[in-house]
Amino acid sequence: MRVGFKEAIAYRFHFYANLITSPLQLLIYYFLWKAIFSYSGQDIISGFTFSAMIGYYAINMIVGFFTWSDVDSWIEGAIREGHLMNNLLKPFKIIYLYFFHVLGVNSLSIILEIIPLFLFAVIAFDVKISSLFYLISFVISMILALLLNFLISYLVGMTAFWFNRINGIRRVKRTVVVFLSGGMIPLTFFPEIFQKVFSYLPFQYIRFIPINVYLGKYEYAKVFALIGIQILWILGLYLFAELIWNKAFKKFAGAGA
Amino acid sequence: MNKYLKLWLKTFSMELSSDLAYKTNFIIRSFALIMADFIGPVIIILIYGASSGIPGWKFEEFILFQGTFILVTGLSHAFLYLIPIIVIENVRDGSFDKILTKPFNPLLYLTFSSIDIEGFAEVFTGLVLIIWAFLKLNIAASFNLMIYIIIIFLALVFMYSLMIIISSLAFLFIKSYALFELLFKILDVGRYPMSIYGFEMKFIFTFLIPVAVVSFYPASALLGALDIIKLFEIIIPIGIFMILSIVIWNVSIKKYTSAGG
Repeated sequence: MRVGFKEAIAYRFHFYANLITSPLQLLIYYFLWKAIFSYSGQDIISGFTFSAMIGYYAINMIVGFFTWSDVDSWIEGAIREGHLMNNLLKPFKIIYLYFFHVLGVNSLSIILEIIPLFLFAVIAFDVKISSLFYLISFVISMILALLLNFLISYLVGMTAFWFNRINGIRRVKRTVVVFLSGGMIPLTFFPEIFQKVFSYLPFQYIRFIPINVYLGKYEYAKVFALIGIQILWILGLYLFAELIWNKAFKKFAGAGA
Repeated sequence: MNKYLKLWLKTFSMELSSDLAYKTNFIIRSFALIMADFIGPVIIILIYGASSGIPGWKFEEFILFQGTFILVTGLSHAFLYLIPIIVIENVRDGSFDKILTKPFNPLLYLTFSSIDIEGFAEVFTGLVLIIWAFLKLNIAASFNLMIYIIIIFLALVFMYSLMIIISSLAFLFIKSYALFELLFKILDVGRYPMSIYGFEMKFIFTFLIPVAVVSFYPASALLGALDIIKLFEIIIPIGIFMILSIVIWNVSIKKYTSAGG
């Protein structure tokens, strides 16, 4: 994690930039939805009131920062530049090593991105906490979302063992994850049939579910059930990642590197 | 001029061959760009499906708006985005001095070495959306279309100035891609019509950082909602921005050469 924290220093300009741009982004969404709500004259659009919509986007950005993970590009870089061998010699499994890197970077993100943005959202847009129960469940759900996003990112990074360059695949993944997780617009805007399909995919558990938990949109029992499903997805993807890693390692070692 | 043309063609063929060396990755990369660009329109479809949409813009008009935004950013991607990247990479490994000793003007050298072929995938996406909207809205060749093209050209001038400013900052202070992120987030303001924003934001993004030129002004012009006098309101801030960027560039170059000895 200390290494990850150092890694985070390399991202410091990225953090400074976000300090300026995240309030701006929230303002864009605020004006966009203000215009849409007043033009339509509807109090509720696809299950969201105006203030819930602003809350959705504010929490969406926070979850986005918290679940950030660049491990796919780290793996690609490590293979291409040949650092992977060094990482293999360390006394941890590589998946844990990378996860602690991510934790290091993201702990700096809490201080530099999440707390300032949250304060801005509360002060400027009156984003509220519904209750202690929902706040605690939200934090748990967000931590699980980080694990989930990390695993997906890690799996995508693993494809670098088979392909020379994976920045194309990484980009596809980024777009798919952000869009299908509800990171651009709440998933309730999609037709029923799409929402049904999304509920069988892991992506909505990265953003849409944690955000709605925060907003207090589910009954208590439903919250527990959703967190349970998140855990199942994590276990499933973890096992799958281990399987792929064993295959990848054989290929890597077999090449006589 | 001839030597710049030669340089440009050479850059083009080099880029092409390096993209073809990793063909699959290149295709996936371009596909990813098209996919990401289509998310904007998909969100519009979802918004217009659930509400009356954005005040003052019919669905087809708003597709035209977004198509214009994507076309301008796509053209910038194809011809301009690599300028600051070349600067960052070269300053980092110390080969920027080599560019200074070449028999070219450094800024023009960078400009003509900046071609990113995957940007054409975005140009394609923008054109598809614009042509679709043209057909739906029955827009024919007209005076407004000419103004539209002129404003798109101005938008590219604006983007060029932005790239020059980023490059200057990049090789003086921050050898980092964070500036790029900053730029893209600011450009995001242009994804929606200026009319929705509050007064302060409208002022900033029309006159100080004229993002409005990237989509709002051209689309308005084409739909006949822009009178000709407004054109000066566009040209003046962009002209100032362009001059400012060149001044910043010259100052940075001077500072760099005097420090580097």
